Amino acid sequence: MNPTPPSRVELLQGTLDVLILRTLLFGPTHGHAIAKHIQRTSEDLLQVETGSLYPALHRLEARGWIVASWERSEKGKRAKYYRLTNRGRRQLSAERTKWETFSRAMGLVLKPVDQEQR
Amino acid sequence: MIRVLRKLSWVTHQRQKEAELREELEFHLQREAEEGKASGMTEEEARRAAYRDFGNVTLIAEDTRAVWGWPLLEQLIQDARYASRQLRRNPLFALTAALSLAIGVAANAAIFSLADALFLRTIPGIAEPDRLVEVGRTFRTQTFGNMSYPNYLDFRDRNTVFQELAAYQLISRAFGLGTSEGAERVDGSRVSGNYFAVLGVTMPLGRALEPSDERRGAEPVVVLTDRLWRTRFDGDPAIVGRPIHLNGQLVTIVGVAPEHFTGHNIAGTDLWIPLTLGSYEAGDETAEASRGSVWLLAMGRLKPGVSIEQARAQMRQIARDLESEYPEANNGNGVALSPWRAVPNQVAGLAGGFLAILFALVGVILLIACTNVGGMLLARGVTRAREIAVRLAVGAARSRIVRLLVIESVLLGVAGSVIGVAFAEAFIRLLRSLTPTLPVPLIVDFRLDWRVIAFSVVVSVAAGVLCGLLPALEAARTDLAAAVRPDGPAKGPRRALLRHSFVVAQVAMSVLLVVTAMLLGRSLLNAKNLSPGFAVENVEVTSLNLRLAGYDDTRGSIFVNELVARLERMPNIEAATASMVVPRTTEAIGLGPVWLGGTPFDGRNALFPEWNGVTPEYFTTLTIPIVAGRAFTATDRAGSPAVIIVNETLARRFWPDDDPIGQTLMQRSGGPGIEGRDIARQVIGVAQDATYRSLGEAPQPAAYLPLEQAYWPGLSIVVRTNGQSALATVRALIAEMDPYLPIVQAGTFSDRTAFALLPYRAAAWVAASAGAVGLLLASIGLYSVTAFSASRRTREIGIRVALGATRGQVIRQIVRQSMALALTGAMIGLILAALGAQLLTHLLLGIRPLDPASFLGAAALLAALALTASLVPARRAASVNPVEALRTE
Repeated sequence: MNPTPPSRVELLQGTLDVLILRTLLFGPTHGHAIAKHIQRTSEDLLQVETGSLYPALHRLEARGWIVASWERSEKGKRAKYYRLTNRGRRQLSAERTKWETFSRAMGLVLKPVDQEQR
Repeated sequence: MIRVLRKLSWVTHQRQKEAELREELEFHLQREAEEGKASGMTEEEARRAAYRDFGNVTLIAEDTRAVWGWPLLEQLIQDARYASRQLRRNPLFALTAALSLAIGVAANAAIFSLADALFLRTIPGIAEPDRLVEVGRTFRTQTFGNMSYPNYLDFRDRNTVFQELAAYQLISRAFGLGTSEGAERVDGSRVSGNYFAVLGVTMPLGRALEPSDERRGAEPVVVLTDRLWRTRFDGDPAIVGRPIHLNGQLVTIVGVAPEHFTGHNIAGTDLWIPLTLGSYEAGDETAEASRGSVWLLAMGRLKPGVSIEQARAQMRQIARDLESEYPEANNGNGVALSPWRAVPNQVAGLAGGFLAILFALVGVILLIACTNVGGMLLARGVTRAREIAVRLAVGAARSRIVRLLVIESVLLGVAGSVIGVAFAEAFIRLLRSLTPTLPVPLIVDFRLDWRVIAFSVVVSVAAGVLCGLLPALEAARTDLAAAVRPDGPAKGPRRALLRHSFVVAQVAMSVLLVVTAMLLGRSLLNAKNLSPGFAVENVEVTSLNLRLAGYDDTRGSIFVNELVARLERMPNIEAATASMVVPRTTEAIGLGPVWLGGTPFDGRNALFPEWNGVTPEYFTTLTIPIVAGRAFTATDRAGSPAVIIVNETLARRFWPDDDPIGQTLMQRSGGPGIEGRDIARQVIGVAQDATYRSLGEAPQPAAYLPLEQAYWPGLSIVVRTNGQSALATVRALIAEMDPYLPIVQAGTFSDRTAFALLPYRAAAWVAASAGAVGLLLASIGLYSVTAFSASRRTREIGIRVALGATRGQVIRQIVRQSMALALTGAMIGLILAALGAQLLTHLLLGIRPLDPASFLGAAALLAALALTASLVPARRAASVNPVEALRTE
């Protein structure tokens, strides 16, 4: 049922929220565009499951990090657009710092092993 | 609070948000499809690809909704809607299941209404009932007995823990209320002057009794109940100040009590008079002064801030003081305090125990109903396996399916409670109609009130969950791959085991009920057939109290002798007598201990026999044989030598080897109010043993005195008729001899003993109904399980028949399986019953708890029913056409 090719990377728990917030930094957009953007900018390595995307969007909205409004899309259709709030911005920078620290730490720990294997 | 409001407002906006979510997801799908088209797919291909990539739209929508809040409520509503649709689609199943539950619930509700009336409801008119404390006397085995008037006065005056301490007589007494035609019996309660003040009951008309009314020599006054005022005095608003004749004495009405108030406990009354008012009964004057004569209970209202423990400590100290101050009368006397209850303390334990037995019986019914419905749900789970598998396949969580199925059974429970409440109303009416005429007015107003209804609903819903949970868990275990195979899900041995154990449990519980019913029913039959030791056929009893018309002892004796003599000459009366008590009517009288003449009394060598004072014809009227010596004669009267007749048991105790006739027995007489006086009595006869308090009692020592040597104004005229009722004759003769003498109570001997048999009758009746219902439910259960398993095995049976099995062989095989279940259940039930029957010991008359007839009878009855219940579906299954059977699937 899940057509994700094995080459793709599974999204880590909790990372989708940051990705959505980061995407919305470019300006308000709708769910489909957010998913496509994440996929594109990660060079198709990250596949956003719609089953996770929409619950995540509604969750972020409930937390007040993003707000939604119905607007006309580029094609003239009515679509739900999400916009970053100030609180969302603050949350994003906090998450980013956390993530950078974490990935640096992971990198430091994993490096020596890699070298030994080579 | 605000969060709740926000969520509530969300509920109202639900539909709009729902639509928006759908639109949002739809937009996503469209964009996806457009992109697909842009990359060269056809419209159809693009659309399909979009859906494939998207995943389960409904599931995504649901997951998203979960983020909004309160998904549980929403899902519950959804499930309930779906469940009710499922039930409506299968009305026969739904109705059977709801009816099963309804019967169980109704039985419980009816018994609960009794408990509610006895223990939960308070009596209207009483202020702050939780501050009221009842005070009784402890003595030897007695835990809450009457106290004497002087002791009450001391308790009242010495304590500092009660605002007031009142006294009252527990059981109301018969009074003769003067009417224009003569006298009519009413029930009166003698209470202290502060009685109404302690209860906090105020009179809507006139005034309550006051402490000054209790003073000796005060003007005699009476307070009427609202009921008596309305029925006897037409609710006359100017009643206060009017004089009435009470036992021939003029008494002034000072007040009318509030509507529905008939005393502070379930023993009701018609009127209240002060404790010390006049001499309405023999020995009253001396009773008031005597510390040895106990006839009162006390009740107090605690002072603010005083706990019942503090009150108990102080009252105990006072009791100890009284014991040392008056050692002769108060030796061994203690005091007991308990919170006020509508059920008198003396019977609360009994009533509670009895209710517990009833609750156990109806509880078992409910359990049977639950397992019955559980079994049906289990079978239904199997037939619904494919539907459930489909739901699991499209992404429903197993927990969600369990919830859905449990909600279905809860809905059944709710439906059951609706029907059950209607049934309960009928059950309660039936219970009420079973209550016989009682010697005292009992105010037990059990009815369907909100508490009973709330109880029914809670029980039903709990029953729904109880019977639905296991089958639901089992159904949700459905193996996906197996379920969608065309030949249906594999019949796991586990599920069959569960279904079978449901049937076994049902059979076991119904056997338990049937054995109980058999035991109680046989014991009740015994009550009718057991030889009581005297004639009960055609015996009628008319009770009088000569004091009610002002007779003293001498004139009373003359009146009784003349009445009996004239009755004996009546054509339809074969024999007539007068006696102080009628055996087995809960009446009893204590005329003190007896011991061997020539030895000093020391308490250990004495017996307390069952006493009676009788006229000479007593033994012929009740056909109690005199086995040695002679019966009383007219010459055994006041002033002639003191004589006594004993029964065989008493004679054996005192003279195991000697002839009792001519021996001397000492009697320490002490009727109410009479201080001990030793009388030497010569034994002139030995009467055959009879029963005195209850049937099936162990042989009791008994002693008879000539009525004239132990005169008592409250007595019963006992006649044996030629089969044609003489109650009217007796009544007419009494009215002719003295129109102002009211008849206290009249009826056949069986009527009079009915009250004593009430607990046996009620228990037997409830158990029998429970047993019948249980059997019915168990038969249905057995039938449906047999039918179900036979229908699941149509193919197998078809093959067997095709391979040459005879119809009989097929039937035998199916029946054997069902009977194995039934017999397993029956064995378990018999073992349970053997254990449970020990609890019934005191309700059984003349049979042992392990009565073989009851146990074998129950087993045989069940076996017959089980055979029928399995034979019918087995025959149907066996008549299957093998060709069709093999083609069906």
